[in-house]
Amino acid sequence: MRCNTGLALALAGLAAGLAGCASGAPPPPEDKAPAAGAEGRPEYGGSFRMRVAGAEIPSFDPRQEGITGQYFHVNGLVYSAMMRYPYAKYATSAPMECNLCERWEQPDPSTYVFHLRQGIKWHNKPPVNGREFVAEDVRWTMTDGEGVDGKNPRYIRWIRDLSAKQIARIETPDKYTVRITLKQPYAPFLLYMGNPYIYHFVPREAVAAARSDTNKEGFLGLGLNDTSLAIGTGPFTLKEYTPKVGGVLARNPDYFRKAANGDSLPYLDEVRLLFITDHKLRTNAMLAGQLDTGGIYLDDFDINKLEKDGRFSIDNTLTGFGPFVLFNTSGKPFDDARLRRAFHLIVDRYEVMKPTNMRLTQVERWTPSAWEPYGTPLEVVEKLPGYRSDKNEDHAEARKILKDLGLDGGFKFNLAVQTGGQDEQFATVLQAQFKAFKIDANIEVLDRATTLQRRVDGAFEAMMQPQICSGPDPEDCIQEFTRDARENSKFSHPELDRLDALQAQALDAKERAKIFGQIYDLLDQQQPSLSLFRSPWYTAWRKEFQGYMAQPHTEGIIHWVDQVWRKKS
Amino acid sequence: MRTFLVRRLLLAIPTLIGASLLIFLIMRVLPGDVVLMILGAGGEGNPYGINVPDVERLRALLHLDRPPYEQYALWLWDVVRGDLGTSLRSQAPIATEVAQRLPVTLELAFLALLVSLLIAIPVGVVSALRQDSAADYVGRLFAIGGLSIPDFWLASLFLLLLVTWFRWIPSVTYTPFFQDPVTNLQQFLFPALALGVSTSASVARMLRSQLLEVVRQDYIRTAYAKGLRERTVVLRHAIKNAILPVVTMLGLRVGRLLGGTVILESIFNLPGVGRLLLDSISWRDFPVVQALVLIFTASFVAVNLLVDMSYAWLDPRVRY
Repeated sequence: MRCNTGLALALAGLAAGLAGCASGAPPPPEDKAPAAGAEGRPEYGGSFRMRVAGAEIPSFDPRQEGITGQYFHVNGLVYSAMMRYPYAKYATSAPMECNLCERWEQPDPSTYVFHLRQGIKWHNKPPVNGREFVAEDVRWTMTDGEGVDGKNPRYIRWIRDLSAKQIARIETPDKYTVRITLKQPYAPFLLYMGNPYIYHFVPREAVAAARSDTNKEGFLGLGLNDTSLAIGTGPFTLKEYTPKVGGVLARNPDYFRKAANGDSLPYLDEVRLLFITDHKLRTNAMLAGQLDTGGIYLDDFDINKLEKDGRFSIDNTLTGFGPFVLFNTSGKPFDDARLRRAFHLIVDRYEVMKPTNMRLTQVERWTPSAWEPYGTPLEVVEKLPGYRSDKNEDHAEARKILKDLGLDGGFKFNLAVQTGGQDEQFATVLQAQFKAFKIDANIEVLDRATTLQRRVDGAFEAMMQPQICSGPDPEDCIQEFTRDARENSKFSHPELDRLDALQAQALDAKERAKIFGQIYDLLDQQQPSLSLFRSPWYTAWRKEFQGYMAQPHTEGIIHWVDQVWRKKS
Repeated sequence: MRTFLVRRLLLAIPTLIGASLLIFLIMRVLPGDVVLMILGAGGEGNPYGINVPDVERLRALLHLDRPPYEQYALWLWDVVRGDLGTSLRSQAPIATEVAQRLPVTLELAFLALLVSLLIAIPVGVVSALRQDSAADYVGRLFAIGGLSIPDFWLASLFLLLLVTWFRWIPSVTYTPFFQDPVTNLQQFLFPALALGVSTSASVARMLRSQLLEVVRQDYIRTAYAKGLRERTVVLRHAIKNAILPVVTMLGLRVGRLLGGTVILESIFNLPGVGRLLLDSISWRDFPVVQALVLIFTASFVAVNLLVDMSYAWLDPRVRY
């Protein structure tokens, strides 16, 4: 008995002692919020610890698929794009800004001329050794054969599509000028020139060296843990990298950008990347002082804890992400647009939203209302059939449609749901709503691999998916149903194709918004998918870091980390 | 003993082949395709970016266009030559991945086993020797609780309490033992506790029931009659005779520990093979799954062989 008690006490003491010891991570700087309302003069120094939702970087070539969604931290901080998103909540709300260029011109609707800043240097690492970034580097990245001609199927499809289908030629009339001629006017072109998923420029010497070294691991010789490829013109250089642990990015002393007040950038000494796959552990790490920002996927529970803690700034932004139900329009029963429209009228989106554990969720149309001028204003959406909260008229029309189709006696269909997240809860609410119309939705929960297989094979009737708008341009919100992407959605409509072609070439934003209005009207009638609602993204960061913000496309935030600074007092 | 050893090792070969073939077939039958997962990885569930030419090109690059029997035969031949193959997803050599991750899982499993023994032996002994006392009831309550409460729940509770009360959690980035032992042990303490508690519950119960039988034997009564102290009787006579079934159980638990670290590795961000296995199954990265199953099977076979051999050491009457 005495032996047992002593052992228990010893274990408790050990636990307490270890808890009191310094942890492996550096302690938080100060455990109190800075003076309210004070930003002050930016100060140099400090380390910013960011979470990366993964275990390693599969490739340091930013043009390879499968890495950008999770690893744009490296992309956005080590490499640079020609343009960058405005320092604003929404990328469409202000003009794109020159980044690698000092100015750009558009002599005609299909031609862009970028005048590069002079004196931009690649990171001082072999084999590039800090040489100057020139127009030929732009041309090479955008025309690199392995990527654009499809030899490497892992190259990001956006790049291949843009390069192959939109770009007619790229010329470099002199060392600092790049002239890009498109096959036709393309409205989102500048946005994509600033999107880190697409054109981050890489040094040809490093890529060529990697390709010629047959001992390199990784996909087609490019990349697994091959840090020799992490050479860019960005504000930080890759200093250390440990797979499954994280990395350290150090300030680039030769970075080309300056702040508006003339300060050299970046302000931070370093950015530390920590690989953390579990979202809840991420939040706990923030509360324990091991992370300065945790990225996205913060839900209400996390936000409440962080708010209560008092050491964090919290910002949110409505995104283009949110669950939707994709119909397989190539087979029964959803090949009939009338039935799909009936579903649109049946669903009470406000009820479906209720289980979500995120604030600010709202019912949106095809493009978020905040993406001016392309989104439909909320006050308009709330009155539209299908989207409105008062469902009496909608349900009456839905019953009529079902009767006309001979389905008022009811029918069954399979609703495939990808596991993880809250889609199963939303599907349960939908199931109950359909039941009131004698429609029996059989919910089939599948893992991601199976869902993907079924979707590509077209072996589904209806399927819940987690997101709809994958990029900052309204074109990304309809990509499921247009051009090549439709091979996965199985939907096509000649009028939609015509309007899509028009919007892509409409360089005037107001004109383009009008065309999108017609597209939304058509999609509301056709309903190839049921867009349910949009979720917000919350971002939280320690209060002593100034200049950080939430943006619906975190690649935008990443580019602005060069202006983040740490207030020491 | 030598004959026994050789026979067991030879028997292990069909076991390993059978396990690898079974998992090969299961992975082929499962819906889902690693090629689609790789090509669709850029978007969360959005397959934009997947088209038939890309799928076929990638399938050929990964040699997945070969017939399944050829793929298995080539894989088996490589394994025999010591090459575990390459991950389809990352193109990394699997041996490298395993070499980086296995020490993490082994350390967690070892510490969990240590914790379980440190808890189970005193609890089991005291419960048996003080049958129906308050200590016995506490011990049995602990055992039932340990069996009922999932280890991952316990682990999450630990983290929640630590961050709520102390504003502290173990470092979320893995630190190898020889780089910084203190940080390393801080990281492993709580997951080892969570795993160890549930293992200790079953061991304590087994030990208690075995000891209850043993202490009623004549030779134990004789030992007391000879004037030996309780500690001597228990340690030198009772436990040695009660331990065999417990050792068997521990051998089986080791196998469970190796596989049971998956969730805890995720919760505590430990880059072990458990997480690698889970991710590889999700991705349908079957070379990795096959290799890991082979390693787990081999470990299980080896541990149980050691357990069987230990009988001869623990019980002189056992001879092979």
